[in-house]
Amino acid sequence: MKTLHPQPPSSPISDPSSQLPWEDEGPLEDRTEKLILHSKRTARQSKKLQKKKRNTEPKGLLDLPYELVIEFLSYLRPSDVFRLSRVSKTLHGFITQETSTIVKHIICRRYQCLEKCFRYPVLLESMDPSVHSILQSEERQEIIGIHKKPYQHILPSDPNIVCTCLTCMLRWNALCLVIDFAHWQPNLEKGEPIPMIPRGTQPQWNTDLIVANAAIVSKALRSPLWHALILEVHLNSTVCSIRRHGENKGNKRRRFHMTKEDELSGTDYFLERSGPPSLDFPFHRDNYYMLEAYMPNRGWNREKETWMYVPADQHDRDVEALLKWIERRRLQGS
Amino acid sequence: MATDTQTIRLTTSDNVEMTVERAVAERSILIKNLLEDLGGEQTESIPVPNVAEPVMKKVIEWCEHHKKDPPTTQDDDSDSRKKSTDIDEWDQKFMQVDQEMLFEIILAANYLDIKALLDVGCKTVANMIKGKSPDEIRKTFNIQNDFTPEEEDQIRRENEWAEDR
Repeated sequence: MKTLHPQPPSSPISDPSSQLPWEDEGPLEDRTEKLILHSKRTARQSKKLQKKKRNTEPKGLLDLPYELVIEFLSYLRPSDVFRLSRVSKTLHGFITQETSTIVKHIICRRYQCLEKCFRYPVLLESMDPSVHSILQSEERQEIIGIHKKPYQHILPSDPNIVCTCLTCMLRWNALCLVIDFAHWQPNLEKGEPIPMIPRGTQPQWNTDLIVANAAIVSKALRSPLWHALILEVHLNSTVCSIRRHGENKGNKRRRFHMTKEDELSGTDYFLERSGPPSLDFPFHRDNYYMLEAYMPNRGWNREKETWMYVPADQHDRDVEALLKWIERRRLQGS
Repeated sequence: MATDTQTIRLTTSDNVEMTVERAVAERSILIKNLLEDLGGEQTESIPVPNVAEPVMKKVIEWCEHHKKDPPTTQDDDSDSRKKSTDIDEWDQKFMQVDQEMLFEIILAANYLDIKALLDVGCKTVANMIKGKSPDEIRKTFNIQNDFTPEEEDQIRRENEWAEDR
């Protein structure tokens, strides 16, 4: 170790018998005092360092680095993120700017099954303009009318805004349905009947309700946070429904196994287990009484013992099929 | 095992030297990788320039309690899905510190690459937000409401359905 004390010569002395003056003094002890640096420059540097340290220390939530804010936001539920966005301009700006990243993390943590069951329909503006006229043609809108006309509880999608390929129409209907199902949960919980609408009539309260539901779905088409919120809402409805039906000893139907821990987890992990498939679309609010886990667009594969989901690119395949159909008709016509 | 009782020295940002059991310090992937890269006996003190002594003490306390935990694996993804914001009872008590210390622990866990501690810290912050109204969140984290009443009202109306969930 380098010290400021005089050191013995490093090379051995040629006469080993001669007694060296420091040999009988025992081992050398380092008594050097720490050198105190004192100058204006050192003082300036030290002040600068202290200032820098003060600035990098987190004083609050908003002083945490970007990646850590994303990290704790990923543990929140979408509804909490909405409330957080109203706290301050900084948080609102950050959440608005980073919505996609935050939602990706939340969905990965909480709604992996639901996300695949309830994909959102494609906006027309994001599609090739040459397909618009084909999708919106009167003839085609008449053909697909069967998916719109019969429902009292769902407002049909606007063909000028949303793609009306079969996949997108079913996606729209499914999203509107889960919002409506959530709306009637208090009635179902209390055992109060859902008001029935006589066939052929459309009371104002129902029009208002389905318009409001459709407005929420429309928001989800443009904001992934709204989409994630719909998934959160449907998970809540599903958990409540399974618990409600499970408590009914007379109801012996097969259902998803759900523990208390699953119920409180706020994730759809338990819906990965084997359970009854959702084959039928709840075409009327009457179906809500017996509806438990509505998880469309998937089927159980017995061999692999897992759920198989409708692929995300089903919309592209539908549009391709539609274009082929149009081309075939054109050739037949000519 | 001989390596379990082996100790190493760490020097914190405020120049305090701490002697830590190697197995405890190796909960930090940063230190673990550093020790592996250096190889053999580590006699020099390892500088930890981003963490001050009081925070380091807390981090080591956590590492000591969790030193026998199995290392984190890919399967933990599914486990984290099962327990979205669940925190172990001991960890909950451990995290009962003032907010400044909580954020310092999170930063230290991030810097030292201790994923499990970082998760606990982030879950603690998330639990402090969960279910609270914007006003309650402001009070909890001492955040100033810088929206004008009109701006706030507009956001409230836009998000009304979402906030009521």
